[in-house]
Amino acid sequence: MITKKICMVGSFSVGKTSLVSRYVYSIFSDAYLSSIGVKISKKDVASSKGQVKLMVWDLEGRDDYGEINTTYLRGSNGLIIVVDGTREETLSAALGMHQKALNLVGEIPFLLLINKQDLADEWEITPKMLKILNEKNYNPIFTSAKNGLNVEKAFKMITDKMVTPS
Amino acid sequence: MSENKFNDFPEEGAALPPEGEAPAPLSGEEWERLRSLLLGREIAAIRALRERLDNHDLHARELSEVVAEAILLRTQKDQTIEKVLQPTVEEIFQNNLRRNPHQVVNHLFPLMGPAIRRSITETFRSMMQSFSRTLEMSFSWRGLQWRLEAMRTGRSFSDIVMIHTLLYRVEQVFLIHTETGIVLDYAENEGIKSQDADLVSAMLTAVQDFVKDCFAGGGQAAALESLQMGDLTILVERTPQAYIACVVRGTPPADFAGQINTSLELIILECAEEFKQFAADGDSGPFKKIRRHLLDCLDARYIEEKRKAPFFIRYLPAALLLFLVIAFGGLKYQQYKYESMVEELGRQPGVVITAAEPSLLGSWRLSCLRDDLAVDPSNFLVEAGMAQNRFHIDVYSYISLDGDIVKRRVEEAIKPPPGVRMSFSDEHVLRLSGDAPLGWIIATREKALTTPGVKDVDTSLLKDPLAQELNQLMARIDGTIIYFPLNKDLPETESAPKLIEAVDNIVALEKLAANMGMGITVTIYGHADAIGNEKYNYDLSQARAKTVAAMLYARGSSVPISTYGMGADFAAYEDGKPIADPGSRKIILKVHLARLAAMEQWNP
Repeated sequence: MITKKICMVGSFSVGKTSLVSRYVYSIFSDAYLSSIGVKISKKDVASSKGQVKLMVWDLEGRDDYGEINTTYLRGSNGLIIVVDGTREETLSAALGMHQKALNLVGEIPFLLLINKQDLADEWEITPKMLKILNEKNYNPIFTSAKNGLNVEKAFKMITDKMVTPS
Repeated sequence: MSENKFNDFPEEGAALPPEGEAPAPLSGEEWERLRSLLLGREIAAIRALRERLDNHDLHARELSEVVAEAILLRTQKDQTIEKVLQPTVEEIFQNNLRRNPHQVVNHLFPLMGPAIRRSITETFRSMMQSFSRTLEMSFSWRGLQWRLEAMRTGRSFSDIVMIHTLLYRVEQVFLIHTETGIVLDYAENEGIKSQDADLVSAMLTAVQDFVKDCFAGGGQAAALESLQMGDLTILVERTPQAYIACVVRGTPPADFAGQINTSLELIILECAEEFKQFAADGDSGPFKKIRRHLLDCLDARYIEEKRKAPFFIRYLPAALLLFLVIAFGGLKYQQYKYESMVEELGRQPGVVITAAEPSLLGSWRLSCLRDDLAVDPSNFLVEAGMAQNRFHIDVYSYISLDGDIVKRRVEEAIKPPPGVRMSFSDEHVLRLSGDAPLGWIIATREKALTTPGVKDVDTSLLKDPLAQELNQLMARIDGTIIYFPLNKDLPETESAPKLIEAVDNIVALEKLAANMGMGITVTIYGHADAIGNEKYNYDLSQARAKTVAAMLYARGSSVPISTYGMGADFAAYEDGKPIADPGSRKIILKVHLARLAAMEQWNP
């Protein structure tokens, strides 16, 4: 069976863990995140190359300044970058993390998720920012941990990107 | 044309057309000759090539020379041949299976048999090993202690046995891709409760990274080699491509790491191609082929018994105990058996046990009373299965009043003929029924009543078929009166027929009674009237009786006859004075039944 390692990065409290918790299988508690800085889950996804097992490394968001434990990124086949749509600073932090990841593991498939789509009142990501993101081929996807919007789709997309040679 | 065209060309040094002059155009023939001169060899070669290209047989032959080498070269380079051939081979196999399944089965059978046998043998071997180990633990003193410990601590017995006997055991082996932390293959020992190998491998990798970051400054050279918690150790041996993590319970030997390393090196050597492929597609499937190297790491060692005594010494106490139990049990059983026999003897009719003492070694000393008609005590015990030398018995005779014995005794005494039924009631009353001669009935009644243990005899249901005729004859004879004339001892003439009839009846009765086992006696009472003196009358009455007796004998009777002269004791008187009464001058016949035995004693 094809197995791929993907890392989820994002600032503290952008909702990474909540976003995927309902969609993955794990034997470890969230306490691992704050203790050793990573929580690992797995998920089976159907792809064009058959069933793919994703090992999801949920990396602790240390702060809003793009600090990240790069050791855990080693060997990653894909990257899910999560941004909190209600905190603009998490976007720049996320981009910084992406850059660090690029430096460490090279060009690997990635996906930018803008989370908390359900909190329209507190939204801080402007259309202008989105336009720039699209121009830089980030093509963000809006998600919500509350109603599970686009979560499955995101897993499917990153899997397809990983198994299909660009 | 000459035979050799080349001979027609000008000789060397022959005159050529002068320079500056245009050569004469070549004829078709000449042109052809020129061409064959210039290109003859190439044309032949091209023709040969064309022939080779068109000849398919030749193609096949040539290809067959190199096809094996070609496949080898390409296989070494990549897996294209395998991928290309796979669908075809699969299709061939499926078609073959569909068309002729029996043939496939026939081909597979020789392979499957040994494989199944081997699998079964392995399973049995492993089962027997664990069974014998459990057996050994269950019946030893140490095993008992461990069982108590298991009860006290609430852990399973097998856990306690393992804690005490295990040197070390490798419970799980992970082959993990170093860079991604993805598990490539995994093996575990039997009976291990393991967590999800994918997640555990990934987290193990993360933990190592974490430790490295925190304590070794993230240097590439530094790496975690082992983790320990309680009696569990995780040993890690690594290469840049992959590492093996072994979860070990107990303390592994120092060279165990080397053993893991050997396995890992073999894996790296065998799977160079697979590692490259994994980096490209993430498929861990091909790594299944190195499972045997992981199984090699699943080692286990147990504490060996110290100073194991020879088998017979170890089991001597148990054997001795077993022998004692069996011996004691046997003795007890025999004692119980003999006791039952003695009790059974005591229950026999006509036997009373007065003393019974078993010895320590199981012999018996007995004392008993025995009726002659009861079973023989010695024979009874021997027949019941008691050895002759296991008992000594003193027997004293007595007469038993036990119902069975009395019945047997009375039966022996009366010897009932066929047709007579007898029963003996609990009240010791003998009841006889059926047909029997009257003589036997009378004799039996006397015999039975004198038999010890018989209180009464009931013969009311016994009857003699001849008895009625006998009674009629007796009634006819009994009381017959024969009258005599005055002062005479010969009967009156008129009485003669009556007397003859009575005599004939007596003779007939005598015969009938004899048939019935009986005899008869006749008594004749003589009477006289009161005229004359007493003495004379007495003599006359006596004479009258004897006369009739003599007549009976004369008629052929042989019955015992008693005669009595009654004188004038029963004569008639008128006004107190004797009268010559003809009715007083007579004899009266009386007949009696008697047993023959009694008759024999009679002496007339």
